[in-house]
Amino acid sequence: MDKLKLALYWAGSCGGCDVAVLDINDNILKLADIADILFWPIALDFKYTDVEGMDDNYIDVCLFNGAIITSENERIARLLRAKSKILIAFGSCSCFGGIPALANFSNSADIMNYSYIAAPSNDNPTGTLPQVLTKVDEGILELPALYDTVRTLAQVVPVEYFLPGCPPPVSLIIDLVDKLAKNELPAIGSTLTPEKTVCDECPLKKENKCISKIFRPHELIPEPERCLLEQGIICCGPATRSGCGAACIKAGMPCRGCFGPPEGITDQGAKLVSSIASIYDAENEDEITRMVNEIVDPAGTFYRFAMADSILRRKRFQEKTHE
Amino acid sequence: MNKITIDPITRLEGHGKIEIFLTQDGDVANAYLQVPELRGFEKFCQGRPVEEMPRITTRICGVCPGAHHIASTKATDAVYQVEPTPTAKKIRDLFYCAHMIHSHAAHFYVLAAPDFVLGPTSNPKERNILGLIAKLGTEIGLEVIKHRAFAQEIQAVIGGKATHPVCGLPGGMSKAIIEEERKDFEEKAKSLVDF
Ligand code: SF4
Ligand code: SF4
Ligand code: SF4
Repeated sequence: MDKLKLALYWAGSCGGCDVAVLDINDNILKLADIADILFWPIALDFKYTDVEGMDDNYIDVCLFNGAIITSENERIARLLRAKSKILIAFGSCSCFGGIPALANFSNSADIMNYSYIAAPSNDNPTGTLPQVLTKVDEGILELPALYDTVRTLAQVVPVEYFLPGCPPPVSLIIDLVDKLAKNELPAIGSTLTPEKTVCDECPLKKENKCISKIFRPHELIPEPERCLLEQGIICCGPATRSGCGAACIKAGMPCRGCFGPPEGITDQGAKLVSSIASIYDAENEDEITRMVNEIVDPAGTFYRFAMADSILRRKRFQEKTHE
Repeated sequence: MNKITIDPITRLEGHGKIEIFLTQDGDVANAYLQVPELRGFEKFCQGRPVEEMPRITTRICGVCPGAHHIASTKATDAVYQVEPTPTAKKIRDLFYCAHMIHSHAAHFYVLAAPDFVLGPTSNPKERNILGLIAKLGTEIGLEVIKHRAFAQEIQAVIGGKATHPVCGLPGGMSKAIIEEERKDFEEKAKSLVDF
């Protein structure tokens, strides 16, 4: 069999998905045996012009991590889509927006202003902001535009497979390499993880107890072996796809939902609200209100990783009215 | 003016582009490094609970999440004005040492070494970790891989995941280590020192 032609790319990302590929350790040699890697900015010296020079569908498989935040992210997503037979959304940023999609609670102007001017660590008395085009003595410099709304890869181009996780765990990446080697990929559109929830993989015991008070993770030393949610610590396990082996819970911390919604659920946050509401032990409306108020930052917790993929997608801003 | 564009710059974490403008004679008139990315952590961390910062700021960088995790964890100590227990401090230090070893190994072998070992004039298609392993031999390559993996494993046991860890809390850590783990860390650490 000819070697597979493979590309890896990072759009609006942290590089953790690329490190996760290195973390498959000696299997990276196996990957190099079955595939020629044609593009991988963190590790190889190929340039955008190399990709632009390829025929359409020249790349067999492209693992694309990162969200679509800038016009460059979108341009490269379209480029790699055209050049790749199979495009895989790799990691939670690419699948659901991930942490970068918390920017959808804000907008590009506010982000620019705060990051470059208002944040206390800045020293920018002239209030200079990055521009798409900047004239310098020697010519014109160009930067990509920052979009108002962070999007998932599939909101920009068609995607064949999804491998969530922040980053995807080594076991699932090795599994993917195996499937590529054997040419045994599942049906187009599949998510390459188990279909259950984090709760199904969690070693802690659920006793179907109701809760009457919410605790923040540092406010309570939880009893070991008992479900954190049933002790009042918000845990996103019930509305999160499995695949990580409940990694955070095993380290004593609640799940924050990085694998996104389980199979068949479109809105992770809405599912979480209903899961949590169903175990509230409240006698009356006042108690419900009190408990709801005990959850600090519900939107940023329930949509920690999947804001771009949610029904809401972003915070709505009221049109500015004249004062 | 003629220009040479290097886009993207490679073998580092993050996005970058270099524009080099040339004079008529082909000398460098000026060069610009541009960073064509911004996610806005400064802004979107606002409104999130402080104890969640160690789990959010790790995503600034997936090569050095441990640094952001510990820095944020220390910030939560400061917000609550709590001093971590001596045990928590030791576990944080242990975690951070393992993190530094992974991060340096990744930086040196995967990102930088190809320039030194294969050289700047080598074929760009081979000037990378795979070319490095081909030149130095699989045996050395596997030693590098094994030892970086040790550092990742120590972080994963303490932090839940090596990328992105979750163990830091104001005043302490979410998880203790058990004697078996300590022994395993000691073995790995000895091997890392020899390496
Ligand atoms: S999914 Fe997580 S690890 Fe991957 S790029 Fe996004 S933030 Fe980084
Ligand atoms: S809610 Fe969290 S702690 Fe409870 S069983 Fe599910 S994953 Fe485990
Ligand atoms: S426990 Fe939740 S937040 Fe942690 S790795 Fe698993 S899915 Fe992600």
